[in-house]
Amino acid sequence: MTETLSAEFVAANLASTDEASHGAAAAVENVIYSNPLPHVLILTAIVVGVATTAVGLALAVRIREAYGTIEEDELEAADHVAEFGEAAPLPTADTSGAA
Amino acid sequence: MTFTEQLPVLPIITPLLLAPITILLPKGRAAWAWATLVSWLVFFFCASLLVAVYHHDGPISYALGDWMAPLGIEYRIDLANGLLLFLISGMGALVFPYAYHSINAEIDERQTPMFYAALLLCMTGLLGVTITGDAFNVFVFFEIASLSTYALVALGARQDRRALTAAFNYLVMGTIGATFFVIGVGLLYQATGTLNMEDLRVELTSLDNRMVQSGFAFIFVGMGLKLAMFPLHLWLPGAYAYAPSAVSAFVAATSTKVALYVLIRFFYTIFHAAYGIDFGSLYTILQYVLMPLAVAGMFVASLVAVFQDCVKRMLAYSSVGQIGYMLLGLSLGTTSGLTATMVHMFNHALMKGALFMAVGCVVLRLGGHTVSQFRGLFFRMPITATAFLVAGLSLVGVPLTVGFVSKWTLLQGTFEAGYWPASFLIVASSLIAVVYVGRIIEIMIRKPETPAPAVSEAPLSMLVPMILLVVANLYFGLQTDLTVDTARGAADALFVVSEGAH
Repeated sequence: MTETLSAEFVAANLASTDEASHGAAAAVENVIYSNPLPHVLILTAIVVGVATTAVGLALAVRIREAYGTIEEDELEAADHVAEFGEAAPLPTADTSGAA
Repeated sequence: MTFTEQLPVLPIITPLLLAPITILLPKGRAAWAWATLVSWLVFFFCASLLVAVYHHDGPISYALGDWMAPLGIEYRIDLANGLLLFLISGMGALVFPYAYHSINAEIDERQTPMFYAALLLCMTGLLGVTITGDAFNVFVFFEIASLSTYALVALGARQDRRALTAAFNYLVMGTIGATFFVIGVGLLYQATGTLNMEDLRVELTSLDNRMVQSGFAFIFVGMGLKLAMFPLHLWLPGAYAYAPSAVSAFVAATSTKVALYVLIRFFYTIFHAAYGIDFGSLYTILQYVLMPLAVAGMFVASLVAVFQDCVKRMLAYSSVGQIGYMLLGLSLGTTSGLTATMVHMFNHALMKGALFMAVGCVVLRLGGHTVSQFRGLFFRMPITATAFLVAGLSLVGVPLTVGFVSKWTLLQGTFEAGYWPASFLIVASSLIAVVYVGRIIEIMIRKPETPAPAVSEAPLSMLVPMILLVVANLYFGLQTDLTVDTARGAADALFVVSEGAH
């Protein structure tokens, strides 16, 4: 991630500034700097993650308002009922009937 | 600083900068009119861009901010891009006028400005994914589009609260897909040191090590989830069924096609060169991984669609099946297979867009989208029923419609590649499509025994886009030169670019 700049590149850039730094240019041989691109990639991924988390949490709030719960199994049960209707009640065990 | 010089960036910055203004406008017609004008402007830009690409020798390259590639972000438009840009902006230009009455009935009036802004941002994201020539830029724009889509799908909660759980599922699964994709891009960056697609192609030439292979695997799975490749399609039925009708129409026509385009771009522009001119390992993957998944998607999804009571859910499963067709064309690994995929990308958008718009009209007038609402529809809403009929026949693949053109080019591809069983399977799954489309058509035609209360047709702003799409179905089914030749040119360009690396 760190790279070095050549002395000529540094000298050329420093030479365009004020005269006093001319002497300093000769003393600089290699400057180590960080490649900004990995920083950019990770920062973008962090920001996208934050935004996605925000949308997800907003959806969780709305689910709580609409369903009254945020438990996955209760949500699935409610959706199942909405899709297929209430299950017919099981026949009650009739212990006094003919067996 | 002429118009044509800056044209590549205009379809992106125009909706991106003008979308926030939509939120500031008062609710009602103002927000809708502004959003519609922006979408028409973007369509004009994309149409000009397609014409420019036709006349330009080779792809158009644009350096964003005048920072030259490979360090700067590059927008790179060739025929494959151009056709898809035209499609996305065209669908946007049709859905925005359509959305006014549909959305007013389906979501809260105070939310409509934010709806139009979110739809504009979704369109921006999809256009950005298509136009960019930088691998990480794809991730950024895809997340812009996906976050907008999650919010748009959740807006259907006023009609059916299952939209919220569907949107949450879509969010989790979509984020997994995007994360896998960005991990893959990160691995490629680590292997080569560049993010620009052209530069990746050059750097990856004959560079085949574990890092590149895992990058490829991550990108394949990540994009496969985004394009609803079987068995990663589980988010799609819920998201399409419970979203507002206009959102279903737009997203069904565009978002999976864009993910498929990204996969094609990575296969042919970046990885084709990496795996050498014999294409040994890439073709093995295509043949033994992608083709079985494509065929499984075609059959399983179509079979599930037959048993759905909710028409939108049926169309969603049908979409998964149609994506199977596109992946089958891609998995052949030949120019004609890739042509078939690109033709079907365009044509399927026309078909599904028209179908979802017809269902939206039914939802507006009849309040629901189950099969019972379609009973006797020919006698109650004849224009909508005819549109559904024509688009449904197009989905089956009846001659004179675009569906037939897609199936024909796909069969050409499988015959040329020598995959006779695949040709048989294409025809067999089309027969399943006959069942689930024919079921609705039969119910629409049958006159109801008890006379149902008369309903008027949908308003004109909803009928006109739907009729335009249906006419496009028939027009591009008869006049195939535009789509097939563009697709063939795009496929040839993709193959030549990848082989030219050697």
